[in-house]
Amino acid sequence: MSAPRLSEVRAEALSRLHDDTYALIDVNLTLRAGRVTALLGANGAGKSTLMGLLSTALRPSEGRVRFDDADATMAGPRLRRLIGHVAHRPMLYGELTARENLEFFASLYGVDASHVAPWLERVGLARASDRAVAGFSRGMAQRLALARALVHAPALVLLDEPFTGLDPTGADLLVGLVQEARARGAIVVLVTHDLALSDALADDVVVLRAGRVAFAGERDAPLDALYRAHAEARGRAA
Amino acid sequence: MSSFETFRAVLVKDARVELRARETLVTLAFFALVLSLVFTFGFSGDELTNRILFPGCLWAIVLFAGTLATGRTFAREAREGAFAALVGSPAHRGGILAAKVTLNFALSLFVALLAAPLLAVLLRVDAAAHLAPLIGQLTLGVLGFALVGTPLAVVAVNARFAEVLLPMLVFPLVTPVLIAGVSATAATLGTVPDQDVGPWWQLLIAFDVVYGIGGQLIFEQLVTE
Repeated sequence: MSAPRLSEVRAEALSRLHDDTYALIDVNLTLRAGRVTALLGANGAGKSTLMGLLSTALRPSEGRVRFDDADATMAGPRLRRLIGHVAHRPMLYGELTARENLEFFASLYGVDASHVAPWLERVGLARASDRAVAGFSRGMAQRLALARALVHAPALVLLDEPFTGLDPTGADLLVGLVQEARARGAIVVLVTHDLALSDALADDVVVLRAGRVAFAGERDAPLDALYRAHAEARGRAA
Repeated sequence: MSSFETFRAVLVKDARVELRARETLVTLAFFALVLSLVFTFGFSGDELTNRILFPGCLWAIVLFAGTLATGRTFAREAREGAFAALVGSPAHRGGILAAKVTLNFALSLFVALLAAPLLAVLLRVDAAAHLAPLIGQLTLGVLGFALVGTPLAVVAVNARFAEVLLPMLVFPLVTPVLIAGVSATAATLGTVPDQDVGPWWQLLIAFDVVYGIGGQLIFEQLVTE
């Protein structure tokens, strides 16, 4: 399945005010196609806020996000079609079965229902496809959430703590899915505290500290070292 | 995805979820039953008194049931973040709102049409003679409530005191609909001498049109934080 492509996503002087406190301050970034960017930072550093802004769910207080030349604040259906987002919560309907959930979201993205069964097979949920999601374990729900976010082959893949709840097989599956997305030219942003698992995936690294970019560039050292050097500098507590 | 395709997909999904959970429907029906009994035992008097009380009691049930229904519009899917996935998708947002309004309208109308005959029997009011206008007034009133309450329910989704915030937002806006509804029902039952029901019908229709357009205009803004 071919999908529209993006060359880059840019954050330009991006700030976001939350309850009188800046969650993000003057963030400038460029995320490029075919690369995986690991977004690191201590708790409360602004990672999820940045993901919310990139997903267009949040509006910036100042600055802007650009999808190639399009301003994300003007995000219409065509722009939202480019995004796949796995957040902290699975973003699924507990009363519906795995198949019904995936069919519903696939239909919203204009993806034919024939793609649903292969995806359920792919994420290891074929045998549980007719079970209500409310009865799923966290790991099973996370697998389905991955399928929901990737079923339309998005050009921008936002993964916020995607390893949550996944067993080693599930983690391997996720690594494979991220590599596939990168290979087809997607921009992948990966927020994680699981630095060992992400080490093999990240091409670029962005480290946030207290809402500001403390480091942005190519990964030239293990993520753990970059995290310790930039996220924990100046003794900021998690 | 077109507006109609979105409307159909979201409505089918929501109806399926509601039929499986039966959470809102059962709660609303029970609520209407309890309120009908409370009003009956609290206010029931002679035939004329009951006829005067009937419109107010009926529309109070519509108000409370409507508030309950709209409060649950997005609450269930917001819990697991599915609402964020829905509005983050390319689905037509007008279609999403239309589907949500339709389901709220259907649930609230079901309760209103359940409560009306029950209340009429309990208060011994001969409403059967005015069945068509009463159904029409309830339909327009409940529609107005759904049109106002549904988009505002989005605001309450992420609020800390959603249960308090939603009624505070909805009640002032829905007051004209309630006044028109109560007055139209009272005029239909003939409890107010020489009152023409025509203007109240016009008011109900006018508010539905205004709220329908207004809701579509603000929904896009409300779903993006």
